[in-house]
Amino acid sequence: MERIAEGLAEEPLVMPDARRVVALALFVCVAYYLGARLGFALTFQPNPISTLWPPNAILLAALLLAPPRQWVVLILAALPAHIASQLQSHVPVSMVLEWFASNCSEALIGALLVRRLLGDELRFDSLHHTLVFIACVGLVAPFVSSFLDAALVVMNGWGGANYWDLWTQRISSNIVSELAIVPVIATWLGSAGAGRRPSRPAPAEWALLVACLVLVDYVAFGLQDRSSGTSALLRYLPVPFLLWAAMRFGPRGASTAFLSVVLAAIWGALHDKGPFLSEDAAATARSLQLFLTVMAMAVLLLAAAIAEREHARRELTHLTRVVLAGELVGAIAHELKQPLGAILSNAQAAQRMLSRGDLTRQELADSLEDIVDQDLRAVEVIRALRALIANGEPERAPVDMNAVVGDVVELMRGELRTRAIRVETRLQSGLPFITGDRVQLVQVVLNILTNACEQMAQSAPADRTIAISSSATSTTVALRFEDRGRGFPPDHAEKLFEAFYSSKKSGLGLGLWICRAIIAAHGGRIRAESPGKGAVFHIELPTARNA
Amino acid sequence: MQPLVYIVDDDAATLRAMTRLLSAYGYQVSAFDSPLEFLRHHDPDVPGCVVADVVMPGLNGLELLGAVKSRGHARPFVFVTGEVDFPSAARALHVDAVAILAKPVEESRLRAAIDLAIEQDLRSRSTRRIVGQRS
Repeated sequence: MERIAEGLAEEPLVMPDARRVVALALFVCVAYYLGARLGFALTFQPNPISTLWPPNAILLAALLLAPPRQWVVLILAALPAHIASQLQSHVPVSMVLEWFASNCSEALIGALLVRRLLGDELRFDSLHHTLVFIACVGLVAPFVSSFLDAALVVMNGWGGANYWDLWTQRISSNIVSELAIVPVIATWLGSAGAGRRPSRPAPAEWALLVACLVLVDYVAFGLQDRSSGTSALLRYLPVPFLLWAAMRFGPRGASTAFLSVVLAAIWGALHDKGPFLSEDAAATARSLQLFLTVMAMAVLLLAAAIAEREHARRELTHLTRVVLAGELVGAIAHELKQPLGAILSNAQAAQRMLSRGDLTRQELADSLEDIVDQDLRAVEVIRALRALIANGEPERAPVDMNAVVGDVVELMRGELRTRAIRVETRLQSGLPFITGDRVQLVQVVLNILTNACEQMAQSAPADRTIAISSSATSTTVALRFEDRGRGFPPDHAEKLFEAFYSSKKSGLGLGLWICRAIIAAHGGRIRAESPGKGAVFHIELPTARNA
Repeated sequence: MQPLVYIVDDDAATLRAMTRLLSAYGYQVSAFDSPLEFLRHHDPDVPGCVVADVVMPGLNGLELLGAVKSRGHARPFVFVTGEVDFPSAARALHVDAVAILAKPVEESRLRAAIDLAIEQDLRSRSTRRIVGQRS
């Protein structure tokens, strides 16, 4: 029995790893072959070296995704694909095998350097990782392996070019290939792309970006030919769309968009179209590769910088939320004693009646009902607190803002009791859902209410009231929070939302700043006014259908 | 006349639970979910004590004790509180309470406090009666 149990326990640990390497090997085999076919198709004849040579980049990307002990499997998987693709192109057998060696040397140099410098995971949402990637994979690996590659070609007398010409062609082609292809594979197949994303654009935005890229790729690289005259400036046409991809779709979207530009530009040049046409094929290829290399670096670094900035903002949002929760923890612990006390008293009452023998079914049922209700009440408070403290991925889900207000009031019940503050809610029933991250919206409401509590610390007992109301139009949901605290000078209505603005001695002054960022990320608006006495905060959010 | 235990707590569930518990132990119970409501119905001639929450809206437990005293009534109080540091703070303030118990309160300690409070009330009533007869 023990052995069976052990075997069962081990299986899930081993199998996904094995399955993953098999899947990756299959991917390498197929993609390497197709990449080689594509590479041949993108070759300016009679040069022996393609403008874009995807197989090396595909193998390198696969090595980056697997632990080194599996690398031999992946390299062996590439070999049949390599032979099959090269023999079709009538390359001599010795040349085929030597080329495989030089291709593998490039992949191994790049993967080893990245692993040595960055460890297990290469993240394109980190500026540091992206810089290391550009240096090691983009520059060093093609640089070193091109010496070997050019020497092999010269030794075999293939193509008849001289050594330095071959070296130059090989390195410029492979730099573009590595920079354009590895990030796409790594971000789609690895975990690097799934992690930090600036935002989660709607499917409509994806569709729009793809449509724009197709159109722009065509206009920039497929429209002009020699007879109509060419403008070199047209090559910059995709730049705004690449920026769009980098800002909104993260490293994965940006690198994929860039690959489409690379393919379109090379395809156009091969068909004597586009802004790169020069006097001969070699000059065209050089101008193309130089442009694409510079663009690749810019796009990758920009996407990484934006992803990093977004990540920092998200960490800050979480941090301010934890601070907010920390301020409430005392009151929440106090609040939990209410249901716990009620549960205890109900149970002890039932015990007593039972021992006296006068417990009726009705009394027992009533006690049990209260015990269950109070237990759920305690669970609800703990759940809301946990959600507040957890650092989860932001969601995009339908959210009922009335429920958000309810959650916050429940979390703050203890705080409100100790401060003797009444909350009057006038919530419109059947409020339409909005789309967003519930926890972040709880954070906003919690922030506004804790501020209101602070502001009313000196108020007369009769004035300690917060009025919350919700309402909806056909396109928006509106919330209104009114306190009767100290308020603020009229010219501070905007300053409140600036970073490091604080009326408290202890506060960081980031609360309302984060609130505004959260509401803006939900497509809404937040503003404040101080009509003489106290402060009023207004939040407007687009309904789910209009988000 | 049987002594009466007034329970004052703004939390409805706590109020119900305490009422059930004390009734099960044979106490005569009168429950109020607001201190003002209690003051309106408080009969100083009935012997007994008050079991009150400390943190309540409108009037907190200490203010309630003050309000009863200011009307010239001597009624022993047992406080039940969720505030961790309230008992020590109350001692420092010399709050005139028979007991200050932390929530969630255990039945035997609650009964001991209530019994003590009722005994104190009955004794002070009989002293007052003797004093009254002598004068």
